[in-house]
Amino acid sequence: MTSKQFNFSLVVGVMLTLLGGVVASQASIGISLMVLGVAIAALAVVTKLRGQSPEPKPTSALAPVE
Amino acid sequence: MQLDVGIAFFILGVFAALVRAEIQFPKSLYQSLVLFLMVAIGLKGGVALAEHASWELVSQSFIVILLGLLLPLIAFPVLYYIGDLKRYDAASIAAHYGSVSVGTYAVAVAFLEAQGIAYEPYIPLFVVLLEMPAIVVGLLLARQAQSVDAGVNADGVQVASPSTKQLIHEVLFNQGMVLMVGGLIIGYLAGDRVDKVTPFFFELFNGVLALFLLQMGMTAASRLGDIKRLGSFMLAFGVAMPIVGGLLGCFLGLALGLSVGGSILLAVLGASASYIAVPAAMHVALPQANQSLSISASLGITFPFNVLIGIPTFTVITQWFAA
Repeated sequence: MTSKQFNFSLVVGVMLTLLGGVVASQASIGISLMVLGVAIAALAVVTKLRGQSPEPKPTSALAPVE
Repeated sequence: MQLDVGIAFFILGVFAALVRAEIQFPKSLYQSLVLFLMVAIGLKGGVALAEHASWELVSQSFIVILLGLLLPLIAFPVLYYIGDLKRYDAASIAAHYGSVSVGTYAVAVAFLEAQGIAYEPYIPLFVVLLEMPAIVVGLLLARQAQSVDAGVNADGVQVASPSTKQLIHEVLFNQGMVLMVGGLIIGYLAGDRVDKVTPFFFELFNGVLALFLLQMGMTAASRLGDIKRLGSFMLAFGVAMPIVGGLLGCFLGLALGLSVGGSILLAVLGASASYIAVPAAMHVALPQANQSLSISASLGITFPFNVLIGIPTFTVITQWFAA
């Protein structure tokens, strides 16, 4: 995930949460928007963190012998 | 609290797919339901058009077409520059999001009628008008894409470029355009004689819509794996684009002097993404594009979002701004 994609997802998540907050004062559907917004932002953060964590790379010594 | 029947059938479809229930819609039945909805919406619009035709409607229609041109131009740079998608994939998805979903529109109509919210009966004219501009913009973007990266599809297979004749045929004579425009013209010209088919096309409408939504629920649930594969960017885009399009439609509807119900429907049209007409057109226009990417986004993310959250949200927002 590139930083542009991460920022976009985060902004969308925050904006949805805010929109949900505004709509929630009028109707219960706002809660769903807030939950969706938080979920998108959280997913973006988790994806970003997973992308940064170093994963063991297979080496030629560990590669299966055909 | 009363649950909307259409939404209830959609949730039932999702549930049935998740528990792997053995419900199988024959493909021809699903196609028949889609054809029925298109003809019924076209006919209803034609009847209304005969009663409400005016010069004001012509100017409204012109501005609605501009909305259809604008939406893919908003979606494309987001997908291409932020999403880092290939140019032809971005063009294809932008065309899907600029066009409209007849299914989403049908759900919105049923929702408004259940809520007792009145709307202009000629809105189906706008559905037809919004089908085409996005396809044209998509094709223009496609032309640029083909000049940049021609001839190879998502699987790396060489594909032939479509001829202009093929493209024009697909834009003007796709299933949705022919049936909805045909229904509009028949409804407009037939006058009172439409009464003969009213029991079939108008009174069965909500029942057919319920079956359609049952199938769509199962289809959307089967796309859950695709959403995981698409990642958080496409999820964010699939939700953000309908919000942007919906707000534009809402403001445009109110600015054009439409009623609250009419503005809600224009918001829903702005928010919806095509999954019937545009995929067929893009399949011809952009054979290189990854069709499953655009279908998964429009069907797996945007359609469920609009049906479950978008339509009630646009209703609240439109009523709020109209007050």
